[in-house]
Amino acid sequence: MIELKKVSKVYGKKRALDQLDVNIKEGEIFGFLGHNGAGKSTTIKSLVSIIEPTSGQILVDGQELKTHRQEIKQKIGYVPDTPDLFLQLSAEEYWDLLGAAFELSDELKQERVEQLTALFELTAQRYDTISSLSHGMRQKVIVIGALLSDPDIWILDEPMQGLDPQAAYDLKQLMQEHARKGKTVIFSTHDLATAQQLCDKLAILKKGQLIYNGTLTELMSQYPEKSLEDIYLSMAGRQGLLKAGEADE
Amino acid sequence: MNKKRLKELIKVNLRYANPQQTMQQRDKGKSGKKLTRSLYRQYIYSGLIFLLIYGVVLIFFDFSAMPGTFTYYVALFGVIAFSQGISAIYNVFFESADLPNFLPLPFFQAEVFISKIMVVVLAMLPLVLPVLLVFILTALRAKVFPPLAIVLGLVAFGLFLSIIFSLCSFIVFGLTKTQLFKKHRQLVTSLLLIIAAGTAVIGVMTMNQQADATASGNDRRPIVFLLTFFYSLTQPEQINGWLSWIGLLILTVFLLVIFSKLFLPKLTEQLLASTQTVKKTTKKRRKKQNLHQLLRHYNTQLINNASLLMQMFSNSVMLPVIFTLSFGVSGNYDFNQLSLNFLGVTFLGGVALATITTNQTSLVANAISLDQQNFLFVRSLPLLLGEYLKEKFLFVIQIQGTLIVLITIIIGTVFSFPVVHIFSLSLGGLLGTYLASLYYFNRDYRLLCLDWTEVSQLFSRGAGNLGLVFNMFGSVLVSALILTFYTLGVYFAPLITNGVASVIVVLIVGVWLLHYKSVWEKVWI
Repeated sequence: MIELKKVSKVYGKKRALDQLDVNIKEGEIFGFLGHNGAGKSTTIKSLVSIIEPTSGQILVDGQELKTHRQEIKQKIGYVPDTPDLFLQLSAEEYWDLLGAAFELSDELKQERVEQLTALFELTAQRYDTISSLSHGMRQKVIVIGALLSDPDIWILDEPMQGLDPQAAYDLKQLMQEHARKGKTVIFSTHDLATAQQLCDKLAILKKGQLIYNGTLTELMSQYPEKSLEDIYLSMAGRQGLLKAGEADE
Repeated sequence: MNKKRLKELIKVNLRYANPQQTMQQRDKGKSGKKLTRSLYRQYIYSGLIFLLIYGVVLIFFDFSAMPGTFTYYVALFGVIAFSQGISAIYNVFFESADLPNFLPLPFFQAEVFISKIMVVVLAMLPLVLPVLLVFILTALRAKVFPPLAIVLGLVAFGLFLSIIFSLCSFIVFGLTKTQLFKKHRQLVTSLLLIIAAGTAVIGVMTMNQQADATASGNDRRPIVFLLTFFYSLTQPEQINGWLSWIGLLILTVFLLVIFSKLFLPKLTEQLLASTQTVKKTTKKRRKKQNLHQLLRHYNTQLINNASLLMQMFSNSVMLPVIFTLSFGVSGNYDFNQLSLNFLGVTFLGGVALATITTNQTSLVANAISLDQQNFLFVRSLPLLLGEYLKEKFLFVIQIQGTLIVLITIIIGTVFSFPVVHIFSLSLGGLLGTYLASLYYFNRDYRLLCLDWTEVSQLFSRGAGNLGLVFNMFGSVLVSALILTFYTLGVYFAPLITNGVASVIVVLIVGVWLLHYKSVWEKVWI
């Protein structure tokens, strides 16, 4: 169980997150949805210890992140929004680093690398430097790294960006499979179709504020005549424009 | 602390601290453990070479009877290590900007920092190994029981390294904490790296003068605060020695405690702040800018990076400046009365200097590749590629030209040339720079590399570092030969020699210009 209690993040005069309250249960696929600059990445980065919230609490299984960082980090596999990490390492060296960080035995790490590289068709590129790989390939390297420890909580920031349709499909399958094992999957996206396909629950953010938190079915049932796109845009988008569009029809 | 994790972190930092070597070894098919071993080996080799070069000299000195010389050598290698330490700490901790990558991973902060510190120490180690030799030799010559002499030498060396590391850390971490660094990062970084390089230059000059002094057998006046090392090694059983050891230990512990209490606790925040300060910059729109002005502005922004400029200028400018200053200061050269007959010689001297300062690490030799992916995008625009490249060439040639004029003025002044000869030297420098730039700009286009991650990757294109060294020494050798013959010719038959030289220069310049005109005409189309 992950709890965000009144989490805020302020940069100078800008409030990137404003009193965010969210609960995420085990086995759930939870999506953060919002426009650019809505606060999705700030939330994700706060969860994975890259950003320290200005105020509020983040609890994982009842333990506060601030005081139990090491134990909590051991439970999390993270896929950042840009896969441009450790560019001078080869994919294999990057996975070695993660294997050491999560204290995996060499045998276990190797076994998982074999499985995942075969799945993502990356076996031939495992000794290439990450800098020499395409965006999509880099993303696959990072995804494999995040899954090496079979984490209890898998956090992905805009994970579908740059993936080819096959890899995107495989990743979605993996996310669902991970949740089926009783593990938590949290991701951010601005792709409504992905959110609709995957999310058990979602939070819609707008300018750092939570404007919806609940299941997709509940949301859709409130506006039975509208598509998810219409609902989302009427909540988070430029409503004036939407109305003008509707008037034209 | 987990040993396996520390080992992996060191492995990663080693690669980041040696991007060029890493790339070269990867090209040879090495990765994983093999690559790590070859990176370690490179430190060992450079340590051994340094030890061999200085060891041969140092082994003949009886330092136990020459406390002044002892302290000077310790100071000299200390200065070199200090210079290397500052740039290594800055590069490994700040320039790599990789801390955010480690934050989500379950590493302890201490593990990340210790791995970085170890890589910094490893970078400093080869350069200070002669100090270890000096320490052990001094103790042995002072008739200390040999095994004890070795142990004392090793311990004193450890303390020496810790002191240097702490001092470097204070400067780098202290400076990067200031408001000045936060506001003017590029400027402060340039200053920091210039100070680091400058200390090395002073060190080299001191070494030259010191070598002359010790060759005559006289001991120098000792540097008092370094005598503690001398007494701790030569009189370990006496009160002087004991007091020295206590003093050194207290100093080292004091410095390390300050480092761990004052800097380490806030280091994560400091490093994060330095990597995340992406300031929102708003610029006033300049009205009526034509393409020439826009491209000029773009090219200026492209090179507006302190470490990039430092790497380029230190490789192409520092060497001639170091040579000149160390020769000029240690010798007694005065060309004040140089006859006008030798104007051609100084002119050719300028050309020769330009062939040394303009090399594969110069700005002009990497200007197109600095564009990275922008270059491919520019190609897609309805813009004449020739015009675009011409703008770029004109921009960098102005910088290269300014540099060579400055260098020739410094050299002319140090060697007391008459003003007219300095002018001739500068003109020669400008011509040489222009000709060499034509070659190197074209070379950059031929060996275009747009997907580099470290600018040093660009320097090793073509014949690599070995090529750079051969090129530089080849230029020096050929230039020295030509200048010697030319000088002799002018000495015996000035009119004929200057006449023949002028015709040859005009012919070579003409052929060179025609060749590159045709080369670029093919690119323009």
